[in-house]
Amino acid sequence: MYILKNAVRCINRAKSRNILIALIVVLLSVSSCIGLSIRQANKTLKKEYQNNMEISASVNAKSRETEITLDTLNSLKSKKTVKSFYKTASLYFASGDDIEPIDVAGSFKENKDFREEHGDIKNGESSTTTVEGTSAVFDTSNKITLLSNTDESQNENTPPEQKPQEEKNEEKENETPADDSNKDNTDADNPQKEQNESGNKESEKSISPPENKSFDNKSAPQPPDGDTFITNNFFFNMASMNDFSVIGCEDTKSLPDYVSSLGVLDLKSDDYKCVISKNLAEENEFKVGDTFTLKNPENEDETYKFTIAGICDSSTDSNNGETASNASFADNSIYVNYATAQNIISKSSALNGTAKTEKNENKLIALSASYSGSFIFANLKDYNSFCKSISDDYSVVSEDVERYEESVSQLETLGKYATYFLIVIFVIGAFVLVIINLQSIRNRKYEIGVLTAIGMKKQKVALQFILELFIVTFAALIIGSSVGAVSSVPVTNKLLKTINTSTAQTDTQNDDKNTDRMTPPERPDSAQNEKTPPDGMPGGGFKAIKNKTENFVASVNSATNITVILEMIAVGIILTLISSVAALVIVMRYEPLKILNNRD
Amino acid sequence: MENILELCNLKYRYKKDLPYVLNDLNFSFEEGKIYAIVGKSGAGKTTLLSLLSGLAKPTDGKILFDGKDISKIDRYKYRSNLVGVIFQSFNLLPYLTATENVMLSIDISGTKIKNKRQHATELLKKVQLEDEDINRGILKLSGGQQQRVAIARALAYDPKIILADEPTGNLDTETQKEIMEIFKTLAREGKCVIIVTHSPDVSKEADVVYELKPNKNK
Repeated sequence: MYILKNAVRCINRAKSRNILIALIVVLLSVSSCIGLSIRQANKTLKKEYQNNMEISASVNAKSRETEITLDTLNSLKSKKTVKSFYKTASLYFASGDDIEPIDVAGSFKENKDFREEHGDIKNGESSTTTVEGTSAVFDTSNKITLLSNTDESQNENTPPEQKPQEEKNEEKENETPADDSNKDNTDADNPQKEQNESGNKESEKSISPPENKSFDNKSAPQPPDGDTFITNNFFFNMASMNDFSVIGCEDTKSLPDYVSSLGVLDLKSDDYKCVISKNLAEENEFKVGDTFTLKNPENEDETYKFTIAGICDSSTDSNNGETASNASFADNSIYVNYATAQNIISKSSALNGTAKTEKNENKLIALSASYSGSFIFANLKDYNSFCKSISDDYSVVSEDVERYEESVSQLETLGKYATYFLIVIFVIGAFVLVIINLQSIRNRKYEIGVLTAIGMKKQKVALQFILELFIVTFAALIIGSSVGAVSSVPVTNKLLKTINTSTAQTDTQNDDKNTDRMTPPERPDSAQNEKTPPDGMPGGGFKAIKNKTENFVASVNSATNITVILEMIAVGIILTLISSVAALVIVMRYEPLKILNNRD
Repeated sequence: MENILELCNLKYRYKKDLPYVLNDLNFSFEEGKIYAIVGKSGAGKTTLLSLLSGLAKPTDGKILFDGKDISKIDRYKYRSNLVGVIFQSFNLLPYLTATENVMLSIDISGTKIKNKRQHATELLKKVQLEDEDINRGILKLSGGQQQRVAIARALAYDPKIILADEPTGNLDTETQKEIMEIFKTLAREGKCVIIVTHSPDVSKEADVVYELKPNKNK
């Protein structure tokens, strides 16, 4: 006890020296704390993802020959590792008489004028006018040219009993509209539309969805790529004829946030209710409750009537840029529930089945959907097991995993630099401390001589010196760790930001080129909230930004936890011991008689 | 009275190739007496005191404390419990007060005293240190006062032997007399006081005087 008391006395006596030591240790602690916190953040992130974070992924075919069918998706979803699964069916439609798509070139009005000039658009009429020399231009006039060609082939293929069959369908199910009723409805609605224009705008404002940053082509129809467009006649036709894509989602998780946030789609009944884009609604002067019809691009007589349940703002969607066809333009995407999409497919199949098999087997007349699925995995381990278990013909794509890998890689780089920094600081700090300590012990040689002369054991003298150093070091360590804990979050975030700025730029560029419609849907916010530790909670909380352009760990909420504190204590003990070794060696070498004689 | 300390054929030299500084010394010391060890400079007086205090080890021969060879006793325990050493230059810790210096000595010895501060104060009063000086820092005390503190520190754990190296060497005549009076009191209390000195005045006060003669003893 007297050793400790004496140590405290000596600390008070040599204030300047101890302040210097404390300052060095504070600097070391802050640096160490930040370095260790970054390392800890890295570990926590990995652990969190591996054990807790839900991963959303989609399965793609590696080649065009391999098709993702509904059966494929169903067989994949039955795997044990899949926590949940949501399907999305996308269908392509041509415009009905009462709706016009937003042109891919973004010049709806110009296009309209152009078409009016050529007598192409007449309200409520379908045109068969051929406009020459426009095949290179991706506009509705081109579409009409091709439609007329298709009509010819369709006329050959379409069975005569198709009309009556459609009428029967109409009788059976009110939601399947016939052409005539469509026209009637459209004509009847037109004056009302004009009257309600102002009211329509108000409702658009009131249902304006929150800014979405997470949705990334996931449910939007995939346009044919440029090469296919030029070389493949089928895709050329598809691209040019398809004005709209109708996307049927099985779960709100598969919908873009700007659609799901409206909460207007009933996912269970095939009610033909839909959500359309704000721009599409404005251009066609639609409001909620209005109806419109869409046609099978291969069969103009096959029409479907949809009721507008909501109007969304798709301006944030990345597919609002240049796209290969109108249908792949986000504003021309129409969201329905999966049941509706399935209903359309079955009806179309029933209507067109005969024509498909009789004369032209390769000609696709019945509406067929392209399917995609979102596989949800409980953790990274399950995801990896799933990837290993599927056939080589398919590839698994997960934005979550990409984000995770990017984040980990960035944090690891940061962690690596932090470790180097830590080592350099540690070595320099330890060296400086040893020097200061050595000098201090030399200055206190007389004290050592007196203490040992009056019977204090050398070990106890050394212990007193070590205790002095420990007290100063740990006091400074506490201060340094506190400063480090507070500053580690902003410093780490600042470093992350610096690293991420360049990555984000590259990523944004890549994102523009990304047309992958199989991108999995985001996890719901609630799921993320459950998995993310609250701010300031030891263990490290991370805020993974959903936006593809910032698909990395954008900020660390807390990084200094009990592990970091224990590591800091270990650093403090090691530093003290290193500098104490010098004290021990010197004290043990000193002989009291020599010291006192020299002084005398 | 029995010998508390005894030198048996004690020899000492600093290095192997050097002549002996102390050669075949056979002195004995009893409790309750003041011993003066005198001799010219270089005769080995301080060296002898270092050997007696356990700060140095004899090259040959033995030092018996209460009949026991001190080389067999832990030298730190010997210095902190069995003998009290007073140095010519006091060797007090300058960052402590007079009381704290005495208390530190009690702590080092491991003596179990309930109220260490009170005990230290009593010892300081016994060596005639004024009340106002008791809690003063060492550097604020005069040479005489520091020597009194050094004596009090040596008495902290109530040793049987007091070893003093030129205890009055740095003091004026008046203080010298006062210090000698303290030693006499300690001797009367039954302690063996061994003083290394070249002062005739001090040696006059001693009960026994051992003279170290360089020529004869080397």
